[in-house]
Amino acid sequence: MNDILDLVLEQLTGRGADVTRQRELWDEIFSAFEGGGPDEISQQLKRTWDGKYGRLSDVIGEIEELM
Amino acid sequence: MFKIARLVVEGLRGFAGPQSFEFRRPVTVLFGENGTGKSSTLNAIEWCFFGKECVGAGTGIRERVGWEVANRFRSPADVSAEVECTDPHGSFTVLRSMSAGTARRRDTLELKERDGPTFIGPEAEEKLRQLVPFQFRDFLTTTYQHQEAIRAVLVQEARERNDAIDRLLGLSDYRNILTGIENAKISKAFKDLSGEKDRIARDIDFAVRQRVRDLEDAQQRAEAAGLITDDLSGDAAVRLASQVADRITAFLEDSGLVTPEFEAPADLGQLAEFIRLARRALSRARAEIPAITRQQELLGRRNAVLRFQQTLNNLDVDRQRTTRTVRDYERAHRSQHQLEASIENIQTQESDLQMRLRELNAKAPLVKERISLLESLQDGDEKCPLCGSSVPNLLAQLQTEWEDEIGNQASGIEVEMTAKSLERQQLVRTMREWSESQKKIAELEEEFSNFRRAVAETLKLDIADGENLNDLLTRQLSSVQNSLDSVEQTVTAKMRSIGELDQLVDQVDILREFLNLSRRIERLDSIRESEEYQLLETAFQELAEFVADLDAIKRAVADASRSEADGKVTAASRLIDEYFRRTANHPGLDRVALEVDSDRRTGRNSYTFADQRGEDLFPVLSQGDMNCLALSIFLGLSAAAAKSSPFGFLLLDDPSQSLGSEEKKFLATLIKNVSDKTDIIVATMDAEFRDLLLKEIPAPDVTTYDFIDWTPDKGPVVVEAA
Repeated sequence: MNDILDLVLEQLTGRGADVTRQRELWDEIFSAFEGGGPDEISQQLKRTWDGKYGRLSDVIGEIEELM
Repeated sequence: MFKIARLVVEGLRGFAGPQSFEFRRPVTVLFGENGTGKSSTLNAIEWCFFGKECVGAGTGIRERVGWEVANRFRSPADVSAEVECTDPHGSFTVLRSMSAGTARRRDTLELKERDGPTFIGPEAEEKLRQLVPFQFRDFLTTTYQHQEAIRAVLVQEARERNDAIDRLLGLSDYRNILTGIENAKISKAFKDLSGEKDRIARDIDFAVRQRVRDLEDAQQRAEAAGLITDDLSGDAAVRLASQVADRITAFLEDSGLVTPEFEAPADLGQLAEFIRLARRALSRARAEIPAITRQQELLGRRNAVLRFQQTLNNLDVDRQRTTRTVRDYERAHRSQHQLEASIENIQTQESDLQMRLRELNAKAPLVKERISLLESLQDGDEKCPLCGSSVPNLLAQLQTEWEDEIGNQASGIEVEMTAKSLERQQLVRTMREWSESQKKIAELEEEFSNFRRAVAETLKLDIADGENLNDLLTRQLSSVQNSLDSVEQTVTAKMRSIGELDQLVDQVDILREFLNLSRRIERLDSIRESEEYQLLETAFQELAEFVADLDAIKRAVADASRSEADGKVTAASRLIDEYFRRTANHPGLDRVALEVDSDRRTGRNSYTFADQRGEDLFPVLSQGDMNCLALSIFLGLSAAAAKSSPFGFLLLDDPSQSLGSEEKKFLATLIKNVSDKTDIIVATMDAEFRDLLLKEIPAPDVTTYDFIDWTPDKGPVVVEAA
């Protein structure tokens, strides 16, 4: 299993993107996978999305009020 | 990597009582007719490791739907499978059992490490997942060569085939990670969110355009209301409102009304409330200014006088008509007493006539009787009995003369009686109508008296007896009209003032609306610079980065998977090519190549099989060739992936199906070669293939179990061949 973790990191590193941020997300995904398989990945990603989107949803409401 | 050393199975599918198998040699052959329990032996191994995972529709195997684990012919239907596994790092025994006879089925798992602890139930399941970190579907494609698994590799749709080959290559984790990421549907959610963000931007633009149009309309209304461009400002609005407030206050005071708490607005925020109060004050002025209320009062009095005049006129007409009728009766009959006397006189005359008629009627039968007597005395002589002279038809003549005289007299009396009766009836009717008219005159007098009182009360007047009401009402009407004329000028002036003040309030309202719209446009224009909008951009950017990172990770996972697949396929390609050419011995095929690429749409691994010219292999293969290819792929990939699999054994179920003798011979050789790398348990009903295996593989390396004499209640008789 650790091979996958490293192999994917290797792929990410080679792309020259924001590796630190992607590495954190990849760690999060891989931990979810080890903890509960594909379903846990989906749930974890949805939670992350909801956490970020929740703030955005509030802001959209405020802007609509301004209109 | 662990191997299976021993299996003890009881009550599972074709088995009844406990049956042991030893797998101490590289190759074990399970031989017997169809339906004797060979496949049940392989099923016992997988069920021991995976339990319910290998049963039902969730397995993706059609024949596993409705699959019965317990032997239905055995009672009690308890099931157990115990597998002893050996591993260079330590051995363990797995015992799975199921109490199928009770109302509620109970599964238990026990895992015992050699020289270590024993785990039971969920702890045992957890420990087993650590030791065997494979899902059932992976086991099925990498370890258990099963006809369904072969079909998955060869004949299922490309997605299924790629999935199966990924599992053969031990790449399920990559695939499962990608599935987990895709199932979160983050890309779709982000696409929806982008749409939402675009919608907000469009809404802002639309709102600005709409408000600008509203502002233009408001400006036109302001100009129509007499405002000039210089008036369209907040200061001008407050100034105008203050002037209006002063004028309304002055007007109310001048009109004798108490001034309400009414102040000029201090700023724009108070304009709406100011307008509400100003309109309420003007509405009150309309209802309460003395001149206006006086006018209302006079109008009410005038209407009352007009109504009285009409009523009086109706009463007079009635009185005159009735009085005239009574006078006519008096002229005709002088008095009601006289009329009564006339009626009585006629009644007396009617009585006399009746008497005469009765007498006449009484006399007629006597005359008839005498004539009859004369007829009897005559003897046919025509002489008169009185004078004795001879008269022709004397009796007939006498009879006619009598009848004519009586008849004429009676008719005359009856005509006279009828005339008298009619005359009397007419007089009686006249008497009744005369009485009614007199009664009506009395009623009208009463009504007139009441009317007089009503006039006095309503108009608040003292009316002297005998005063002419008509003259009185005419004077009243004239007086009211004079008062109305005098108050009308005042009322008109007040109403004009109120109208002017209304217009001024309207101007303030139009200004307020214009200024509100201006402010909203300014606010809309500045939304994109607002803190909220900046927050939207920042949060959206954060989500965009999250989605981009996720895409990058997906690509990295897919690329890592492909890279690993590439390496393994390269390693297995030679073996698959060799195995296939040796077993199939197809004259048209010099080379079989398994190649891996990335699916353009999903980024996942995509596998193709090509011949020596690079063309798709499947269209030219027979059923036997397909089976050989499937076995070659399975054995080649298994051999190549052996190091990454936790299982140190392969299970082959009826692998010689559809193969010719020559192909079977090559397959036997193949199995011998693969058995150098991993143990193999082969179930077959094919005696020729069994013999080829035993011939090919040295006796110390192979164990054969013969399955014979299977019965429902006892299961198979299993004999280890010498």
